[in-house]
Amino acid sequence: MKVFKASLLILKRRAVQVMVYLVMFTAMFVIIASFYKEQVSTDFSAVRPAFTVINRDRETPLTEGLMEYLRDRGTECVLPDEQKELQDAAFYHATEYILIIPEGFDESLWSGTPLSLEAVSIPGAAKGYYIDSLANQYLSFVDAYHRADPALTREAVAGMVLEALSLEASAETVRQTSSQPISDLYESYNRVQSYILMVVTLLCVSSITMSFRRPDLRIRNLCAPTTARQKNLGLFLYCALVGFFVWLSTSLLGYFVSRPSLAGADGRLVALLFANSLLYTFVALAIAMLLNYFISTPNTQNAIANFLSLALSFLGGAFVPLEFLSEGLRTASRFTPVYWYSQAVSDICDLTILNKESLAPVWRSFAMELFFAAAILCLALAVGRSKNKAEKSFGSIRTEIEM
Amino acid sequence: MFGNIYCKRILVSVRNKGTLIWTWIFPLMMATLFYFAFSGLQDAELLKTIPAGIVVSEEYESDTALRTTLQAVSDPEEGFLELHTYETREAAAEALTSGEIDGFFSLENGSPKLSVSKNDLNQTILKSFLDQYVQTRHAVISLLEKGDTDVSQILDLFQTETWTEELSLSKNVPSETVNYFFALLAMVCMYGGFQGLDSVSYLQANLSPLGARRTLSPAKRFPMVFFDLLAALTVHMACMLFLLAYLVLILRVDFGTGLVPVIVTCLFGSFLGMSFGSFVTAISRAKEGVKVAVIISVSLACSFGAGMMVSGINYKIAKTLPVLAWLNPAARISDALYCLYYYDGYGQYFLNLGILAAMTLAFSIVTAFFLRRQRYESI
Repeated sequence: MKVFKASLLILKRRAVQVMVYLVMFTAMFVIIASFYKEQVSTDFSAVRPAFTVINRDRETPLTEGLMEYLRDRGTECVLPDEQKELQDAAFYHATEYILIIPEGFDESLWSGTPLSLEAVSIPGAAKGYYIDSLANQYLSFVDAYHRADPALTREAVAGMVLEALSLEASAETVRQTSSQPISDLYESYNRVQSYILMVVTLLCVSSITMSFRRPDLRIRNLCAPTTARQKNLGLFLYCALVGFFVWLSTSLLGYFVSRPSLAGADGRLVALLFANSLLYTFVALAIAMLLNYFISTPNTQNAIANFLSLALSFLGGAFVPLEFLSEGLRTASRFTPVYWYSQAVSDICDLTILNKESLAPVWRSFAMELFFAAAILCLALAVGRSKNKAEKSFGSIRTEIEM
Repeated sequence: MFGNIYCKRILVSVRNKGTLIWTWIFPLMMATLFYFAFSGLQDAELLKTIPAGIVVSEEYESDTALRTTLQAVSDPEEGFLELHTYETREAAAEALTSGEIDGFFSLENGSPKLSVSKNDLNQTILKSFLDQYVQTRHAVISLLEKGDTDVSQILDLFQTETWTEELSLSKNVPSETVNYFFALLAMVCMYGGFQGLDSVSYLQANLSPLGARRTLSPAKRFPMVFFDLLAALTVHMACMLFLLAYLVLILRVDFGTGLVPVIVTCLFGSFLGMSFGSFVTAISRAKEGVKVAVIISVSLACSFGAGMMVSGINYKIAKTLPVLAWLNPAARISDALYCLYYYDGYGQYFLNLGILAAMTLAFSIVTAFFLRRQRYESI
């Protein structure tokens, strides 16, 4: 247990470095979660894109009817009629669609020579298309009802149109479980968790091995009356404890911060996500064991931990969904463990029924993660064997008796 | 003296592996990852053909209106649906579960119904399409029942018409991707703090042996500090220009304007980063590792606030906590680049540069206060 205790002591002295990562990660997630507002439901609920209406005409029953109709189907983002405000909101997606009603629109519509409304959205964007189709549907109905009976007043037309447009087709959500689906917030957290698991595990493990691999310490330890088995057992226990602590703390953080959005979600899906991150911790531990043979200074330690974690996370779809990557990159990413981790997260969150067939892709991803962990661990053992035999592993310290 | 201090300081900076990794190699890697990861982000927002199904029952075969409408919207040239037909509801449900289609339509007692497995935008568009079909059919029938107008007239009334025309608010199209690169440049500007840290460490007798030796040298203090900082700025600006060249020439990132104002922004940002690093180093005698940790943590936190990890978070912070947004140097650098890309005028761009200059001045004054007329009883 000497090695185990010494490892814990080294970690304690370097705890600040690890805590910086954990605290920053926690702070970022808490901030993001505070902006999260989506309501998850088992029944069909339409997406409500943000829209803005700038009315440069007077308020009339027709324009008020349009506002009311859009408010029922979208989320209104009220903005002042200022160029800069509108530009910023459109750029940062605070609003997906800005509809500008020009001065004199109501009169022109009523007289049969309607002015065009101006619409600002990202060209070809789906959300803009959706709100635009709603606005067009409302205006088409107003025009049709007015032309069908020109004697009707504006109030009457607006009322009739809103009544006609309140009719909805029936929709059902085909889910074979009665529980709510996993929220986007928790799903995203699980994807990004792979980054923090990898970086913190790498730092914790390499901090110890970096110290133990110091040539002078290594030579001393080789002379110590402790068997190699005992030393390895101590290191193994340390890795297991660190892995377990990092996995448990990051998993519980995600769960408790996302808890309001997980109300009613199937606990078995959450358990599967926990199992998935545990398997990925094994992969991270195996990678850390392999890389510790190449880490000798704090500079390379931080660089390797960050470069590798970021590269793997981007490539494996932890930060950006895989479908946004190019075909070539997607093919390449299949050879990384993060790909299978992200795939398992998607498969678990998409589960609507828990049976042998639907769980098969999840088990396959789990098996791939275990396979990666085992393969990398074998490689680490082989590299370790070769490095330990090499004379250069003792650095510049000369062990021969100088004559 | 100038040549001696300037050249040696540059040599020291280039040989510093830590600075080399974090200010030269790390940003290049991040830029490359951003490029590959976010290049498809813009396309993801676009409306693509939605795969949908229809259960072909006897009811459906006899409903000419629905069949014609579905045929029209699944036209390969102009439609937005990719329509798959299924003999039974079970087969359609299986295709839905496997992800082959986003939803399927069926007829139940003459009424069309939509079945989906998720509540995403594609499903919302399918539902909206079906709602509009139901609403139009109901309106046509109710007008026919009134008997004032004939069928052809009524159908003419509901001809699809576009009432809106697209308007662009800016010279450049909004892009979610470009903001990540702005925030990345802001982060590298903040990493100028490493140069500030080195400069102050090499000048202060209580922070490094070199500082102790330089304090004893007969050279005047001000030229020594000035030449040192000038060399540090040269190295950091070389790093910024290297990154900028990589972004513009290799990754083809569009900054929406000429490169001169972008370089000026980087220069102001570098001044700020260096003065921040000098400030952190001068005010405390903590270990170098702690100061490096402070510079990295503050830079990353500021870059997060500028939108490097989550696009649009800078806008949300600016709307909810405007003071925090104005005091975040990385957000100001990123916003200055955003102004160049998106706005037609330069008003806010110069305001951002002014704030950066004011912050630099504030950090420099405090640093100078700590550096001037130091006497050491013991180091």
